[in-house]
Amino acid sequence: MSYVFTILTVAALNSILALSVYLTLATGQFSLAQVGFWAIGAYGAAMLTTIWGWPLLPALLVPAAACFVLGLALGWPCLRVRGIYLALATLGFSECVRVFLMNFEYKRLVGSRLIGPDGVLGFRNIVVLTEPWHVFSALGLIMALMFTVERSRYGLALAAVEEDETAAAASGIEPVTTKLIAFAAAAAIAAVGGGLYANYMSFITSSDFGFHLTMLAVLFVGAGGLGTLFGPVFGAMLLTVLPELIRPLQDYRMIVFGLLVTVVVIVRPRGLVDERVIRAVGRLVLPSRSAR
Amino acid sequence: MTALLQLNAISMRFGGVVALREVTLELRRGEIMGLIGPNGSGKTTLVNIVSGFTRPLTGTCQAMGQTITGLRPSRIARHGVVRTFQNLRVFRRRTVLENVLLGQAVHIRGLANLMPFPARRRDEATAEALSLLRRFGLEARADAAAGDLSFGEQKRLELARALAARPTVLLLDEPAGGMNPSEIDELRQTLGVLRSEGISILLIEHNMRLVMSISDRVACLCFGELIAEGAPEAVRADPEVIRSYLGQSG
Repeated sequence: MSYVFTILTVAALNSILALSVYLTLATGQFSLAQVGFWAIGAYGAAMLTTIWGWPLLPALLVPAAACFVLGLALGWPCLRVRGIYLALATLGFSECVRVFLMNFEYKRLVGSRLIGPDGVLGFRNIVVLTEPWHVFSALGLIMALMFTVERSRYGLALAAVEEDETAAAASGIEPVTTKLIAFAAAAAIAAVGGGLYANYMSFITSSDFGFHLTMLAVLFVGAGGLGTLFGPVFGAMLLTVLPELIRPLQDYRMIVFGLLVTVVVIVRPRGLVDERVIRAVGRLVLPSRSAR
Repeated sequence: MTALLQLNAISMRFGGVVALREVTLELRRGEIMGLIGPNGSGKTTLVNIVSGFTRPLTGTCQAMGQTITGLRPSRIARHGVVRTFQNLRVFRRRTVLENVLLGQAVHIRGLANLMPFPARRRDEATAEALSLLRRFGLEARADAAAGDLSFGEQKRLELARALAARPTVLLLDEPAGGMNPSEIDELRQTLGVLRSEGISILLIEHNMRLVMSISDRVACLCFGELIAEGAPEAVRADPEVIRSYLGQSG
């Protein structure tokens, strides 16, 4: 039972990362910077709680605020480029963060032990403050916030910028500002997720935050669905649980996993939970919903 | 009659090609000005410059007494100069209603945008959007994805979206392109109503019957130069215009 619960908690953590990626994609930006912010949130929160004894909540929020500002600073130059060039620029950021953390040493005496980031050896003995309910509440809160914003005029503006920046600008929406705010907010969300992750795992290393996680994060969203925020959460849940379910396949596990993902992406080009699924579910839940 | 939109000696060049040469033009309050000319004569470039998507090489542009040259397109739209596009640019994945709601975005600023449409305001906004849609015969399609509309419907939707911004100056880039005669008649009526509501319109159009019948004044561009400007009949009779654009029998 506790094994299942752990998997679900990890799936919820991954969902937060997926939502961060989703928020950047919601304005049409293919950003690979999310894992960089996730890593900053993880190391930041872990240092605040473990070395300086902060409670969990401020230890999550301070790195999140820092990542929001960093997101603005990184987004300002980066968001002028699109597509593959934005992907490369943001991947560069994530790699910079990873390599920095790989070389980052900062140990302080806590009690009788020297504790802190220790270069390639990672960061051991992080105090475990994250309870599963923290993760689920954070996920719920982020989803509720994003759901609200998505239904606001700003949410409509995000969608407009994603679809056609020129037409959005002609309608009085400033594309760069809109993208920048979304990018920074996504950075803050990633940082919260990373902080929860670090204080759940008790041990993190820079190699946790490599290209593998970046691709996985994009996969959560791509396979889950781009249309609404339920897609990425579904994708993260599925792709976290799936490798566990097919564990009996042993060495072939990741091959089957890769094949399944490939098939999904081809068969469902906008993800498993796309707009049509959402609309169908919406009709079931609220049969006589009036015009939005 | 005061000039709402004033173009002063606008010049533009793409590579070695002169797109506009010292074009000076004014649009007065409550008038429809037709802008005609052969393909490639610089009409769309002019609209792009006024709406801020292209920066002119030289020259300035004033709207409602304020210089708008160099402002971002979104700022110019907020200033009351709103355009449509020659090749349709509706938000195809959004619903028809959402397209119009987006057009209203011009009037909402700052953090209010993040609020989930407070129910009352949302109802107001929706009601206003729906009445615009009714005017363009699109109310029944309010919840359809804009991409599913027919070409003519999308054209009307784009115009409805532009009007949702409550513009002072409307720049229409070939609104009748691809429309059938009855749709063009409807468009003519709509433009007349808009004018009577005080909206000034710069109308780029190839359909001479529409331009000549609705415009208060007409200007003709040819290879980036303004070759004629004046009352529709005068421009139609201008030998230069006939030679370079209309043709003898036109």
